Amino acid sequence: MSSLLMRRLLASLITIWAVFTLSFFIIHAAPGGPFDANRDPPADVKRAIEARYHLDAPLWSQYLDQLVGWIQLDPGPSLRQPDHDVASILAAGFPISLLLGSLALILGTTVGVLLGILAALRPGGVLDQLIVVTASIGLALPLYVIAGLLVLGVSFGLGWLPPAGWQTIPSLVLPVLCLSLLPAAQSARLIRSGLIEMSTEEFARTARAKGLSPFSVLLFHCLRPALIPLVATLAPTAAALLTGSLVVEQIFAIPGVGMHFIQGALNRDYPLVLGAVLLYTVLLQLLSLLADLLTWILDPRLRGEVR
Amino acid sequence: MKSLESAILLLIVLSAPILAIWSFPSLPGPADLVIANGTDPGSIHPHRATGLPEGRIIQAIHEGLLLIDPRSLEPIPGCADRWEISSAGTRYRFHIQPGLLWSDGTRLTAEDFRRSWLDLLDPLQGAPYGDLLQSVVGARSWRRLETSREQVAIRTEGESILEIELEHPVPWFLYLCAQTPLQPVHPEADGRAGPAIATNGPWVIESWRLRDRIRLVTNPFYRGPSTPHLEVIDFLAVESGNTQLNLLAAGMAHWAVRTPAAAIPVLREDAQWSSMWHADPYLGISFFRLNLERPPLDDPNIRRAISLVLDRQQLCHDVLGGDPEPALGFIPWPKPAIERQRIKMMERGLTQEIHDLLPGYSGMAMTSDPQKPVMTAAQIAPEQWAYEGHDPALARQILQRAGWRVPGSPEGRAIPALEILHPSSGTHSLVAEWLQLVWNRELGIETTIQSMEWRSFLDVQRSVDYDLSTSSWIADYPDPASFLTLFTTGAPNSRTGWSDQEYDQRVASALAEPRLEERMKLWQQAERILLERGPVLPLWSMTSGNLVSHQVEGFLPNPLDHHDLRAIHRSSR
Amino acid sequence: MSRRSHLTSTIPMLAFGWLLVTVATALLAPWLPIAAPDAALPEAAWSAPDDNFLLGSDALGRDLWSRILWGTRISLACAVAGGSAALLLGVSWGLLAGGGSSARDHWMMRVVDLLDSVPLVFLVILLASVARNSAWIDAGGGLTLFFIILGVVYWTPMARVVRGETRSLIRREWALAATALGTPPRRLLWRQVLPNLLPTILVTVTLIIPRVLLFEAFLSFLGLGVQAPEVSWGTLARDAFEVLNPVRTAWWMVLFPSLALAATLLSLNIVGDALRTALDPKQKR
Repeated sequence: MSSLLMRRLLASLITIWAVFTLSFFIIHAAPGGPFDANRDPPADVKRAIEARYHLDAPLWSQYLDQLVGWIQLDPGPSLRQPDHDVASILAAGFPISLLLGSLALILGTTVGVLLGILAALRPGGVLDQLIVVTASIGLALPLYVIAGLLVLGVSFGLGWLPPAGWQTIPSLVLPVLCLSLLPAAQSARLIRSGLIEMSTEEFARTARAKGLSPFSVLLFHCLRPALIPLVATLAPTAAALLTGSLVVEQIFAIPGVGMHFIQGALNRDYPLVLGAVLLYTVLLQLLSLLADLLTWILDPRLRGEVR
Repeated sequence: MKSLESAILLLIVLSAPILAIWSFPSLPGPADLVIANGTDPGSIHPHRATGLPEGRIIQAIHEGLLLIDPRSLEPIPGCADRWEISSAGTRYRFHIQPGLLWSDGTRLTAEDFRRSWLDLLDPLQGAPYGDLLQSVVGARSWRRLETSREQVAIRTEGESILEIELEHPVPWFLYLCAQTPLQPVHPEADGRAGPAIATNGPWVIESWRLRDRIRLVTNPFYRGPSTPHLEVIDFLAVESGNTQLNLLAAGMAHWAVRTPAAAIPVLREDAQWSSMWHADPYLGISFFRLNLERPPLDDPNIRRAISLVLDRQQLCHDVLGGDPEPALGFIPWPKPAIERQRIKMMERGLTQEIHDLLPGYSGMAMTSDPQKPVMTAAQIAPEQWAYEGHDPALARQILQRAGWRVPGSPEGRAIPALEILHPSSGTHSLVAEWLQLVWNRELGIETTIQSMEWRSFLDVQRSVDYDLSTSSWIADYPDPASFLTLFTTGAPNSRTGWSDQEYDQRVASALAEPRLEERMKLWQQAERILLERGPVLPLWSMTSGNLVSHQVEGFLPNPLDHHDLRAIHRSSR
Repeated sequence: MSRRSHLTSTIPMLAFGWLLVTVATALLAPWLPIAAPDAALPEAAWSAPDDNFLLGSDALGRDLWSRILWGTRISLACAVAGGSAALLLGVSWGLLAGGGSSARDHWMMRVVDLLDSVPLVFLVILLASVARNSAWIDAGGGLTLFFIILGVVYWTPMARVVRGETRSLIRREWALAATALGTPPRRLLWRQVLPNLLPTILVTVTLIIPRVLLFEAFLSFLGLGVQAPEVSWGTLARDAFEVLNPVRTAWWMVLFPSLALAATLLSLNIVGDALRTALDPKQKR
């Protein structure tokens, strides 16, 4: 198992390195170069930038310098906000995005699993069809459409919740709700199909034959194996949450990593954008590593295969 | 194995809530006053800052020699409790209030002012407002590196006396002493600003989170003349006027400094909002800086044509929501706005004189006292301005004659595309799109639009890396000098690289002219040169547009849009 | 449920009808009796839907109905361009990998694995940021570049599917027989295998197109995609959010572009599902 883990870790490191390299060269391929977009920046700024990024050094040496800087978690100052360095900007935004994301994940998965169970109780029934249709709509629509309708209805129509901002608990509700739709739809679909599949298996039939109600068979015998694919989709779900947070943070004016990333991209603040891309890459790699590990532990069949 | 699995499952189920609880403190919680301040400030170091968002914060965390009374716009005691002016108007002597402290508990003395002011003047520092004090004896020659720092006539006597000698009377000098660049800077600041740097105002910075907020709390070492009412103040970095409006409407902000143009007619007329809406006449001009070095803007014909095709009346009325007035020149002309304000008051059954109702406007009244600054836009007769009105046909003729290709005639050179640079906000991009449409329709000019966050925008504007860029200028003191010194050769805030000897001469002689009438004539000539040859395209004369919650008291309208937080408190409503 | 009745049942037909109408109006937009999308009437800004403005007007008094139609052109062009790029790249890559030696197959699929593990969305945002208002855009290449980006993001699923099918097809008896008879491998791949892949490719394309459409909307909404004066569904939504407030709610600016996008996406999904069921009898769900 440890060799498997090592292989997996190595693959992640290679991915992260590849992303860094790709980003570095994309930035340097920009016509005119990233740092002399301003024809004549103030002399002190220019000096600081050049000292920091060694722009006069050959490309490979700049590349190595930056690589070492990033490995030491010291990526240097933001290009557009010289008082702040990239690491501290991202560190300040991270808890905000984390709070948003974790709440959305909790809410989404809970609601999704419940809906999935409800739907699987009577496959093909009215409730099932309703849930399936709603889930596919939820997966098909862009987040901003849903956010726009929620703001129009809940904030302006009913006046219940603030339409933007990051101050008190009510301001959390709408963004979390929007962001949770995706995991909810995804997990509802997965749990439903998993449960339906499991309920045709031998053990479920046996359990029912023993006189257990279909509901308790579903809940106590089928749910656990059906949860495994949910764990396996942890990484793609997290990826969806991250992309979703880009839009949600813009719409609701929330100062998380997504806000810094998009504003950085709009302002051509390359060090900041590179930092955010790397942060997202590392996060996703960690999550997919974790998901692989978990499926491996939770699914006895897989364990046999690997050995 | 079974128990391990359960443990792991439990861990997964619990990990999300644990993360949520761990990150919960990132929610900042309530504040006494939340100001949707427009944008992330650039530097909030008094010598480095330029914009209004920075100014509001600096006014709260620093205290200058003087303060401006928001009611009368008269200078009132700040760090100096009294002052004397020599009869010639060239020597100022300030008495600093004893016992003042920095927020780190150390003593604040006259020497702190002298050092800060000299640092501001220091030619090697390149401060954007470095020229504010250039009328001080010895300052100009030091800035040209001909003399030294010691020869500038800013002197101290003991710990509490600060004495300044001027080359010629500067009627607005007391106003300058209240400006943010002249506020004292802590000896250890070294160009930095932020939570770690001590200041001397009623509030200090508790935290600064980028693209979120700056939170101020009361300064325990403040010993000045004001008694601040607010304990916790949040300056939100919210760029979009629309989001600001939403925050205010949801009760999450108390003061929005910017609102989307579309909402303005409703804010003005709907009873629910009109009492919160402060659209006041304002000494501010909204214009575009032009880069005269890049084609096609190096051609005066193009500059004249792109101005001629603009229907500024339509811009003000239909695009901007109806409050601003078309700009007829570079000096804002708030008289129509004042007139409208008066009518609005009369309609509400208030028949008192406008000056009594709108404190601060007395500062704009005509005066013959040469010691007093006057905002004399109305004195520079509008009919003499270089403004030519709205005439697209003439514009096309001019271009055709100059050999450019225009719609309706296939001959001539194609006009190169232009890029409009603006800070990201709904109104700016709306104006940019309007210009894009009009120039394309009337003259066949292609334009691209580039929007940037405020700070990046300032960087790019300062390095003159634009074709046209959205700009505005707001009076620091009520005199045309505040506007017309902006574009003299080498002026740090010109951001255009423009230089014109004749213009420089007119401005210099106006500054040195003690007689009011004569001075105004010189200003008028300077303005004309600027409009004809200069790097500006004036669009509208601004109105301040603040949306202020009913919970806020002490918010007084005035033509400098100056709202000192020292005077503001929350009502119990 | 038989295959036939599924295809002809009402909902997929409605969806298909909507797609036809959308494509037709988008193609015909320049000749339809509607206002130009950039004809500004500032004095008629913010009109709610009425006789003059069927779906209302925007901040500069431009007709929203016309802007949505013209936005459809760009959005659909993105989808088609992105889909074709994914098609070309994915199919060739998959065929070459699946039909080649196992060593070639191995490294070609490692590349796909690597690309799939890279969070491309974020890299694309970086790319869009670099390309934005650079010389590339000035040269008029902005939209072209944008299309290419969209295709690059979504070609890997196509490559995977095609490669898998190819591998199984070239082990079929007829393929082995053809090889034994001396058909060159390249000829076998392009002439014999490729036609057999068409249903799979079609199904995969129906999966990719909605994703490209969504991605265009996503990028443009964030301000990193289509730039003014061009208009797409994403930029329309962006405009709408600039003015979404309770004081003067221009609900039509949010609602109609969103509806257009939502209806098209749902239709694409439904039609795609129906196609999949019709073409792929193995698929159960």
